[in-house]
Amino acid sequence: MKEEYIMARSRWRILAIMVVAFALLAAACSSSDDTTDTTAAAAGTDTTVASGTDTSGEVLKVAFVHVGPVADKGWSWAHDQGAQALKAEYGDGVEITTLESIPEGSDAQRVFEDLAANGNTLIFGTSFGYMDPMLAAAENFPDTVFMHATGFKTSENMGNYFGAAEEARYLSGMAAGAATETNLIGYVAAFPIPEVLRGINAFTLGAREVNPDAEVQVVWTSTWFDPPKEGTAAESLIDAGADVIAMHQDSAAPGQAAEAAGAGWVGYNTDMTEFAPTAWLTAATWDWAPFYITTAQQVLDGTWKSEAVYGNMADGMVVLAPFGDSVAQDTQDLILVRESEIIDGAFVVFTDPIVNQDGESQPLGDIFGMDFFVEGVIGSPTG
Amino acid sequence: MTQAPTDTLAVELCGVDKSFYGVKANDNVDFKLAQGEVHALLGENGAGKSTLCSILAGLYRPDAGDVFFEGEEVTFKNPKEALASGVGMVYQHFRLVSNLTVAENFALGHPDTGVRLNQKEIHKAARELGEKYDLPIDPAARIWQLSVGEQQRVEILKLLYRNVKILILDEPTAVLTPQEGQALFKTMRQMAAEGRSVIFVSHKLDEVKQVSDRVTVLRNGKTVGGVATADADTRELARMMVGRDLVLPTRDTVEDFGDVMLSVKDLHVPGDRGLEAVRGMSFDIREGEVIGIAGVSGNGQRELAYGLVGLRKPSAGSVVLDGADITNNTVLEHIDAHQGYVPQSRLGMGLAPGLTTDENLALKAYRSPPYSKGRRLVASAFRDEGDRIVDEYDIRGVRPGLPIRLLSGGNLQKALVAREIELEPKVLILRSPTRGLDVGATEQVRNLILKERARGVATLLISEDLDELLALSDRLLVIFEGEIVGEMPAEEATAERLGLLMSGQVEEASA
Amino acid sequence: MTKRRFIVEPRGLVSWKVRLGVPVASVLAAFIVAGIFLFLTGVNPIEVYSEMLDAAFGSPRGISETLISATPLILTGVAAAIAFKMLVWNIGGEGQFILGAIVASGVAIWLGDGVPSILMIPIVIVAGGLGGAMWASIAAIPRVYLGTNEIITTLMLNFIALALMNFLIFGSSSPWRDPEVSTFPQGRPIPESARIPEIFFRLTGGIFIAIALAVFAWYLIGKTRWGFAVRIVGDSSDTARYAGIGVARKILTVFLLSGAYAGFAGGLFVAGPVGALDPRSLDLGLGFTGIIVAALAGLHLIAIIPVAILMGALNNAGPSLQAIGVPTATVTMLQGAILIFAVAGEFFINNRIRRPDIEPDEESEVTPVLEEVEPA
Repeated sequence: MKEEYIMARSRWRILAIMVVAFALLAAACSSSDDTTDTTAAAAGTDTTVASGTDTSGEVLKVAFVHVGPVADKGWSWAHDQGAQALKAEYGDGVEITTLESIPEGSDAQRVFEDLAANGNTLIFGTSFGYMDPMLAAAENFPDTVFMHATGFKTSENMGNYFGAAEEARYLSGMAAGAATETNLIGYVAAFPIPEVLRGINAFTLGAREVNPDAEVQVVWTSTWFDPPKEGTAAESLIDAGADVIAMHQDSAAPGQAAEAAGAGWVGYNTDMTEFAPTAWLTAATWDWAPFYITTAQQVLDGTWKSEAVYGNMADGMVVLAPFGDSVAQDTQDLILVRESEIIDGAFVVFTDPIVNQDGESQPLGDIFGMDFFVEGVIGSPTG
Repeated sequence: MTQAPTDTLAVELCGVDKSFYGVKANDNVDFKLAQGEVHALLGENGAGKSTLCSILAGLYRPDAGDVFFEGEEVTFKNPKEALASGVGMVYQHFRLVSNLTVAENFALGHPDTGVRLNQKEIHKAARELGEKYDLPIDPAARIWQLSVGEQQRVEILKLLYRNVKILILDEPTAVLTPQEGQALFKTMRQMAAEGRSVIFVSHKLDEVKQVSDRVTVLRNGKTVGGVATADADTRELARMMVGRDLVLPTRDTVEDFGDVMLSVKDLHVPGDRGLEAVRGMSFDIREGEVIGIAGVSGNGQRELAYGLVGLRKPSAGSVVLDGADITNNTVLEHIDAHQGYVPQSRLGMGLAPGLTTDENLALKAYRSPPYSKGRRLVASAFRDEGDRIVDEYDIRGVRPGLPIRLLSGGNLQKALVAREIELEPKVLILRSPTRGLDVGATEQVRNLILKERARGVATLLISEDLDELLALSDRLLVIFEGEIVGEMPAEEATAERLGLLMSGQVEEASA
Repeated sequence: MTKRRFIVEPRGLVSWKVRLGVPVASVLAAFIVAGIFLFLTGVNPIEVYSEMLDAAFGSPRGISETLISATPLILTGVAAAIAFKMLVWNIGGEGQFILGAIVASGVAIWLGDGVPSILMIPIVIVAGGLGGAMWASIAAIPRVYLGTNEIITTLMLNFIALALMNFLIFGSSSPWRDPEVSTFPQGRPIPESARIPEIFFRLTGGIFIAIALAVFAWYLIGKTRWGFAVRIVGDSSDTARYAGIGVARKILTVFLLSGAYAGFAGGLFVAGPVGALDPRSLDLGLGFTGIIVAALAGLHLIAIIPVAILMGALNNAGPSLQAIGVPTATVTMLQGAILIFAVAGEFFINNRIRRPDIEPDEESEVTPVLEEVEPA
């Protein structure tokens, strides 16, 4: 009786331990491959801390805040490559702090304010969900320069930046259109928002330029980064007859699914050839290095102004990744021609008016608020 | 007692210490068991008898001290080792698998039991053993089909099947009718005659006198003394056991009682498995009268109490308290009608183990002043009333903030009874109110019951303890399988007659 | 046979010194052990701890941030504690928190700008509580009347609540979604009148509301007639039944109250720092952390307040540690270590170790009994 009595009353402790164990396990799983990276980041800061001492001039303290682990080989990784290029450019002249896996949402304000309070004069937030918390932090720290990626709000000391990925998306669509034999291309997409719709439309236009019969079927995952979910979505598209998989996701899982099924793959964010060497066609990728170096220089010079930066292939923020072996030479040539036309402005991806999903011509409107699919896309633009 | 035991020591324990939760259950205990004797271990509840036996049977290991088995020092790591050496114990709570047959229980844990059971051989052995020791048993019966007395037989035969040299019986008569007890004593003598040693644990003097060769008395975990039974007289044994002269209170005869206070008519109450456990009981209790319900455990006593206090809805019949029909009332309405109830399980039902004594004393009365004002509790009332009751009823060991479960059994029961009495009951229903209590606490609880009787409370005493029933009841009813099979004034009741009725032998009892 | 060297036995009465000293020692021990671990992995634990201390309490802004993080934890901690006291294993604080946020923000948006703050804020918080209680009722009613296992149902409902919130923002054009922002789905800001004013940096008055609600729960359970009945039920339902207490109703009410407290946390969070039904701000496992807070506080409703502040401080220290090159997982490790030590400490609160030859002092004169339970 006594033991039972006490045991029954102790069960909450077991529950609590289970919760912690669960949290630890989850933490271990989600960061299994970022441990190496944390040390890398740590090593990076170590060198910069040391370098700060021997320069007589001012050291620019720059901070980067990422939503995912920088080892994701995707979105955050691409930004981290830019940060490393910045470091390489200025050496001891900059001191870089990198924070990864910082959740979006109101709590992020604390992180930005901590960074500002610790003397960082230039802070980059690389995820959309940082917009409002960063805006609030910017108001509290008017002497710090805040730069927000992918958002649309600016203030006196907060700018934003993004790039015309649709240009490279169009070109990668050409590669996909040429590759498909079933004329069905699967597209694993995160959320039905203008940025993603713009990418899908550009990709579809490119595919249908080289293959007017090609269609693009979209599956929504409601997540930016969830490898199992992304992989499953890709498999379902392959089951539905798609023989090329494209994506607007941050992991390589769709590519691995394509590789396993013998399909082609158009990636995103970075050159991910290593994950699916056979399936790899090409991808729209980011090169943030030029932008980060320019911005740091502006802050150092005192010439920085709050603005909304929209980079493109011409200024090098958006880059088409190297082609995979399976992309035919004549296709490559065709794409390269288009690329040079885009860079010198002779070719524009979206033209007004435009033919929508239902085959009707409609005004193009503001591409930053794009809410429709073009002809050739299968799926709903509202999710 | 005719059989003279040999002088060879079967077991010797020297200076055994054993503590549980900071309480010394055995404190430097010495014990010698001769071969071929029935040795009674006498002591009050909590004197350390069961602990000593459990050490011998390998269930516990002593904190200090030595155990010699047939002259050699041994340390039994577990009951299995003890059993292999020939020491077996029948615990108060049987260790049988209720879904298996008798024979299968025999085979369980037996060293000769391989992958396959030789059912036939075990059946034969079981039957033969049963005949030999006059403990007849059906080897094919499943344990759950057997009565408690029969299950005890299975336990004993199981140990004999293992051919134990030392048989320990922990309070074996507690679950038996007097007749069954006598049969067991015969078996014990027979085993001793064969050269086996029997340790008989009891706190009942007359049984000890009757069956044992020697007695060792334990008190508060210490050995008080060991004597040959023939040389000891009952009064002296009692003094050794309790530490003082003591006569338990009994009722004085009352000629006429008051009006009928509780009237039960053709009461039917369902059991746990849907079958009726109380099957048409009728009786009246008058003011100042104590009605005793005698019976072997599990014959509907629990359901009768539940049916009377509102914990279980009767399926038929009526209960009238002081003229008001309360058959289908809720528990709360029963409490408000001044019906007190002392359940059998103190910490399981009567008290909230983790709450303090003060809080437990207010367990039923907290809803009204002085304990609460509106929706708010009055902390000072809990404290003041608690102090008063603790003082008045001599409840010991109480300290502020101490969970009540840390009090001793006697003090728990005093608190429980005190709370019910404080409700000024018209009817008091008691289940085994002194079960497991030492003599001192038994005396106090009995006095409380008799005081309430004198105050005019109608009392229903449901118990398995015949001494208690005979000492307190004005009238006795015997319950068997949910029915009243006998009724008599206390003056006409004897243990023998009650025993026969309790085992359902109505004809023999009336003869 | 040799004498035993040590004997473990329960303390009778536990003094307040032990009750307070052991948990504090447990936390310190956890920091020391975790410090050794950090040292072995090549990190200077002193540096780590001073950085954590500095981040959490080293500046007025740090303190304000710590209290912001503590605010919902106080309430989800109370939610878990009152349920666990009753042996109701509600681990659905997470889902009830989210539902609280959904209902609170929904009511705020529906009422719009016209209602003055003095009315609006209480309405929004109460709406959060109702949302949490409603979500809890889905598990509570079958638990009480059909005997379903609430651990499983509440856990499942957590996932459903999260999916529901994501649906409202990402999957539909619900009233919770901000129609003005087309680039990325996000919650529609609740009216300014529903926002609790900031009093100290980002800290809102919500911390006082949370503390007041925790004190109220303590009063309710400890000082009222209803609370007394609840404590009896929590201690032994058979005893409660015997004392004429409606056990099923009490369990149901406590379950709902537990849900309401988690819901209050959701409402307060929305009306406080978040200001919208924002999945990214709300999906932080605050309901689960509440379970840990409750366990660390030994289910004591007032002790939950300091424990929540400690946990809030630990949570906030993560990014600061990254900045000095220490993995954020350090914080999770510390939390785990503290919990394990606290649970082990519980053993020392209830038991003592002594040498067998030294007699116990008067404290353990009390005789514990092993009472048999009546067979069913």
